[in-house]
Amino acid sequence: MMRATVAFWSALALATLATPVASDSRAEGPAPERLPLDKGDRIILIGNTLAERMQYFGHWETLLHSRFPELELVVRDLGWSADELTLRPRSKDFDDHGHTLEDEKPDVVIAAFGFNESFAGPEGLETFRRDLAAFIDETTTTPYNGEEPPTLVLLSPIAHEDLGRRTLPDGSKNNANLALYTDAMAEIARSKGVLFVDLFHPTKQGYAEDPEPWTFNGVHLTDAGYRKLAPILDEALFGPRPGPGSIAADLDALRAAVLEKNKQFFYDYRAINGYYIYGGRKEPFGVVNFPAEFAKLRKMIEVRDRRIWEIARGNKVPDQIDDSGTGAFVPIESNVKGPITITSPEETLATFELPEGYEINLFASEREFPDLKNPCQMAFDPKGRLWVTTMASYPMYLPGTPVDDKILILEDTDGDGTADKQITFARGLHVPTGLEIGDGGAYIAQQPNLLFARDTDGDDVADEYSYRLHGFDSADSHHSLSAFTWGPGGALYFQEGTFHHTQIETPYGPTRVKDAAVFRYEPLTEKVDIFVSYPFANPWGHTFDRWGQNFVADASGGANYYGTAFSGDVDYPRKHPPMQQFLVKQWRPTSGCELVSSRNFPEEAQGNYLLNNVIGFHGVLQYTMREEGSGFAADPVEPLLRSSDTNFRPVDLEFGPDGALYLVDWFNPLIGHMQHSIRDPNRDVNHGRIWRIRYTGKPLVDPAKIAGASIPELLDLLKTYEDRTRYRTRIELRSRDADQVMAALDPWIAELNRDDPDYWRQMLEALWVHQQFDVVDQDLLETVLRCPEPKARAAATRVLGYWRDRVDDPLGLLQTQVNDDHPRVRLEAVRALSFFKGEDAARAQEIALESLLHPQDYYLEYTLNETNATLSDRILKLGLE
Amino acid sequence: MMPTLLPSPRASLARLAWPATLLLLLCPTATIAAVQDSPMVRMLKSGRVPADRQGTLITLIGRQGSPADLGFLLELATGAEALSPENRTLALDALAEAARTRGVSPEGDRSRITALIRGDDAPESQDARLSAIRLAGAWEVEGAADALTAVATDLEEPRPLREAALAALADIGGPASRQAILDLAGPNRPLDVRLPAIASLARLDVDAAAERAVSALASGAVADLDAVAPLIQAFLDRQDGPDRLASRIRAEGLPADPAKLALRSMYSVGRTDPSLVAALSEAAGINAEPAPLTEAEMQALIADVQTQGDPARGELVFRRDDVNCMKCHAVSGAGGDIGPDLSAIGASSPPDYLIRSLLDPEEAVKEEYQVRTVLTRDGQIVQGIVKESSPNRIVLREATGIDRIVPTSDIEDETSGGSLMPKGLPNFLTRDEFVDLIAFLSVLGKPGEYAIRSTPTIQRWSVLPLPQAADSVDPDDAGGGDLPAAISSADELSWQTAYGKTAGSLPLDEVAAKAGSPVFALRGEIDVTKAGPLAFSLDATDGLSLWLDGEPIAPAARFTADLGPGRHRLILRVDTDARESDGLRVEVTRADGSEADFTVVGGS
Repeated sequence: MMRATVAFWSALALATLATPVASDSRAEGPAPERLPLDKGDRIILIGNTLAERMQYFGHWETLLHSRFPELELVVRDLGWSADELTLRPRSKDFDDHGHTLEDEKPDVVIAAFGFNESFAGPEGLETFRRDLAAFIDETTTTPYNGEEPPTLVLLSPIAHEDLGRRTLPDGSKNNANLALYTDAMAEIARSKGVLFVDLFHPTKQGYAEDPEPWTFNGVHLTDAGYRKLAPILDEALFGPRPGPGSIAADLDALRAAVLEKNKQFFYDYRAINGYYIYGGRKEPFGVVNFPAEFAKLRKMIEVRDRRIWEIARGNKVPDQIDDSGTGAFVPIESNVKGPITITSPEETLATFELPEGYEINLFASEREFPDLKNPCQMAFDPKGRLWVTTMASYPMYLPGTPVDDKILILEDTDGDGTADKQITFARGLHVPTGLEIGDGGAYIAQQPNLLFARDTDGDDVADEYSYRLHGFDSADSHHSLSAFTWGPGGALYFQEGTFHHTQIETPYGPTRVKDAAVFRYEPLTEKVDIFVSYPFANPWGHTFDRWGQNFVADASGGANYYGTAFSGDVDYPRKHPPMQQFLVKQWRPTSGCELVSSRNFPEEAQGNYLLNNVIGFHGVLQYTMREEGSGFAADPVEPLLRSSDTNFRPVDLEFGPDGALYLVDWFNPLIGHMQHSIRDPNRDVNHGRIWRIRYTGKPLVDPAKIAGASIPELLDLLKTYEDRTRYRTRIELRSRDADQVMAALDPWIAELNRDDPDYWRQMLEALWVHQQFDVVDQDLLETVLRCPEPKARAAATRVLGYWRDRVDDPLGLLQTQVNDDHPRVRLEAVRALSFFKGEDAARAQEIALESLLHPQDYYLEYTLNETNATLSDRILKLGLE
Repeated sequence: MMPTLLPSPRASLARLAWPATLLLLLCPTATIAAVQDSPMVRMLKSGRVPADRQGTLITLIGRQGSPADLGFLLELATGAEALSPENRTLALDALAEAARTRGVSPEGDRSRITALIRGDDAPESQDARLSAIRLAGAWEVEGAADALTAVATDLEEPRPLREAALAALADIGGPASRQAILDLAGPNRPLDVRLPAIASLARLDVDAAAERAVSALASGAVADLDAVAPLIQAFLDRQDGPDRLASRIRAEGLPADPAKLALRSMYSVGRTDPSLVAALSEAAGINAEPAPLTEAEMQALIADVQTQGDPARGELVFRRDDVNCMKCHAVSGAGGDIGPDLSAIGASSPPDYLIRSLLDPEEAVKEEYQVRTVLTRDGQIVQGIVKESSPNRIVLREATGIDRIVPTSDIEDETSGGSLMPKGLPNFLTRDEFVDLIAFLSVLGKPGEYAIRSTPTIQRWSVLPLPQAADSVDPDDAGGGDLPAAISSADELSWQTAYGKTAGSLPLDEVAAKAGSPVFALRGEIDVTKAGPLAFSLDATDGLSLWLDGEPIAPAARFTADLGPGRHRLILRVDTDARESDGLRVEVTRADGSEADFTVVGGS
């Protein structure tokens, strides 16, 4: 998908392949032993992430074409993260897009199922067997191509690999289930006479014999893993590999051609903005431009099929692909009447109004940094440099025009408050709506995937791109993964809006949500939770206060929510019901929120909630926060910034290392998806600005020295006043060695001054360091749970919730919290109790109800109702089983 | 002293006996452990929860409780003394919610709730009786039909109880209920018995209801929108209702005025069922289905909007009662909240998009206003914005602002899409009016006169008509006297809402016409979050007397007041005959040097 992927290929030439593990196809009896192919056959892959990820590496398909150069095979990968035999949720009218089996007309269907189903364990096996038999019957009797049913090949799941990492499961539990399900598949396939390829046993054996890992998380193969899997699958389907002498193709070139075809097919199959192409908002604009665009794209894919066949035969092909015969686009006129005025940075600057004492300056613009096009989200690294995503490809890929969206590092090397240096960290991206720095690289939204890009040679240019999570829906790129933020405990949070049906495959099983959510991802453990399953329109803002309480801003309607109350667990597809907002909406739509925490800003502004607004009111709204029972409420005060320049679109905001507030200005005269054609020529893709607001009545903050600091220095930085300094310190800390950090932490705790009014917040930071590294410390946890500071007790209660499977008597501890004097501690406890399952659910419910022994308020009642609903449903289900 | 739930061991034991067998019936595989009381009931029985929090627990039991749990609630609700009146009402509501949204009811003698509906043993609390009536409907308690009929017939009973009794009778159905409703729908009954009865009849016998509805409308007895709307709604709520009513109208004919009212009532809830719209339009003499705009017509319309459209005239159209935009939409922070706030609509939406949105509101709908229409198993239609959607139930907010809960198990069919925005609105407008309306919407939020202002004005006013000249203050005394009793002691329900124009001015002539009096009181509200002096600026003071938080203020173009945190009320007595200007604009700002923080209260 990325330039870099292709570049890797040469380094990983097939010739260096280890001897493939002998394949162990268990197909017996009447099932055919080999897959027969005819000229022109269309081979369609369906199933879960095992199938989906194949398209990104192309190893098996390369072997296939090289083995059968004369057959001119067409391969389409319809794999989809976390798909199951009977559960394949898609956004509205996805089937109208042209990629059902009836549309794809398969001669061969290769189906990879069983992984996600296996998490139902032995209890779910009977259902799986029944579903599989029904699936085989349907697939082998339906003439999808109008003539005859396809030949079906079933692929078993691969085994779970033990990567020997402390924070990942060793796979023994999953493998027991996977073996069960693989055996069931083999048996049913045999009885139904369909081809079955056992990938479970060969991969299990391969993991054991190979010192190099095959997977990156235990369950999903890396590029190298797929390279090793390819011959196993190839030989299982077609018999021993022919000798090198009988292969005509240059395999490197062939694989590059396969990847190029796959990339174009991906742009078609997984097109972003599906809602405007085939879904609920295709009228009135999408129906005008998209038919021609996809007709062209599909012809381009056919051009690439032919290129593959030429290379497979050993023929030379031109370097450049000729798409001249693939058709033209429909010309689109703007529906904006009258001239569009592009304002210069000076003109925009002149429109800004700020309260007394504040000053704004331009930090960067497209004029000094022409790559700064449509900036969307930013982050500061531990060196204090501003990273920002750009989107020249907005609103989406135009067939034939390669995408090249970027992550820029903008640096102010001389400390004058303006950027003077650019490094392009990542490129070749497509509409990167979200970004956060960490773990030695950057996490980047690349719908439908979460990408991790990393620089391995110290030049700050990424040279390793890998997809870490899959299955985020792309029905509307305005609703796509956004507002990336680290929580204090080391989980990465991001959000998506309504219309989306997302399902993510993890080593712990599939996680699903539809119609909007906030996600919680722990990179260290590879756990993905639906942090908030709520009917948002389109959340685009999330921030944590210094005590770990969080706030979520829903962009479209301008709603703002207190996060604790609606982040308890629900079982898919249930969602939390509507909840009250903590402030009275003034304007909409919003984009990004931040709490004031900077010694540069006036004393009375500290803790204020800032909220960008982008239509009508163009600027930064400001609210004072106040404690209200278990939750918070906010009151409007004078906006921090307003502009009369309607091109000014502040979409992200964050305090920088100098204590000034930085604003990302998307800068666009048109921003509605629904109000104008996606291809409206007045959509601007050439401008973008970063602004910087400081208070003149107080000095700027001396930027903390975070990058390269020693571990004890970093721990001391956790005492700093500014939230964002501690935030970036935690980012730096998480890239350090866990053992060394833990070794330094105990003496640091011992030396904390108990008389410091900040003592318990510092202790809480220590607890969060433990959580960040997934190192459970029951004593420290209990110390903070029982401490005199209720805000620390509340935060520790949340930590306890996430450690519930690894501490002694978690329910007993929560019972104490549910009877705490402070309503917020009780709220956190009621929330945490929603996560208990199985035999624990009944006791968790009893404890949650004890919260009624204490005074109630809106949030306590809301959360109790939700926890009670989740637990009651689980108890009922358990009773029925 | 409030009676609380007493954890009498005797009572608990007695109640344990029968629900246990029941749960076994329901869950054949249930273990012995599962037949114990649920944790919710155990907590309630324990007596540890204070009375004022038992309601929360009762509601939780209604939402999640097993039939056994609900049996306990029924015992509590019908028991003589165990519960406070509030908690008894909550228990009845919880039982009704369990029945309606989950289809779960307690076994046993449900007819015992009949005693709570009417008669010597009925509770004093009207709320409790109302809940009992609704519960009788939810459970379809046939034995309650007599009591319900008695309530529905008795004009001494409060109207909500009578209407609920009719609805419950319709829920129960059967010949006895049908006869009772038919009787109440007869022409000899007073209108406020007859109309709700016809509405209920629509659920049991739609043709009989259509016959009576058309004759009621044709008689001229039903002459205002508020009376027509619920009648028409009863037919819109039925799958076959609009068609059958349309047939009846075509067969019998209908005068133009009630037909227009009926059409407006449909549009105001976003319904455009073709047969009924056609029948009503024909009767009203309106062209219901103009041909869709061609591209050339669209371009011509856009050109007219730009060259001839007048935003000021368009705003008057926007505010007109028969167009009713402000019922659902807010501008400058005040107005309805059923649809999106339009304060910045012009800044994001070009004219063609606005025109399309008015002609075909279903084409582009913001995500939080997605509409779903469901058909229930008993033929009811519910249409609204999806507020909540779960595996068990959906909650739809209707155009009237009411949330309707539909259990998923009751859904026969559903469609997504569409909009609550009335489709036929432009039918009531001339082309010039339409052009002006679009011109107005196009400028909203753009820099200039219609931009989002940084200086807040009072936009949402409450209006109290003061038709009795005798109540009025002596103009010479203005600013010196106490707040007149006619204002200070007025019933909250007599205040009506009026909204200022986008630029902040309240059209007094419009208000006077609506109030039916040239003299009226206006009330605006300010929430102060940080104390300090605020400045009030008035465009002109003639014809005004002012009070701030009940204290008289000498009329002045600008006055300041030092206000503490909390809500403050500015009241004006307006005598339009003594005032030159047709408008009134009140700006609220920080006084010089003030650090007060405040918001002018807006909304609907």
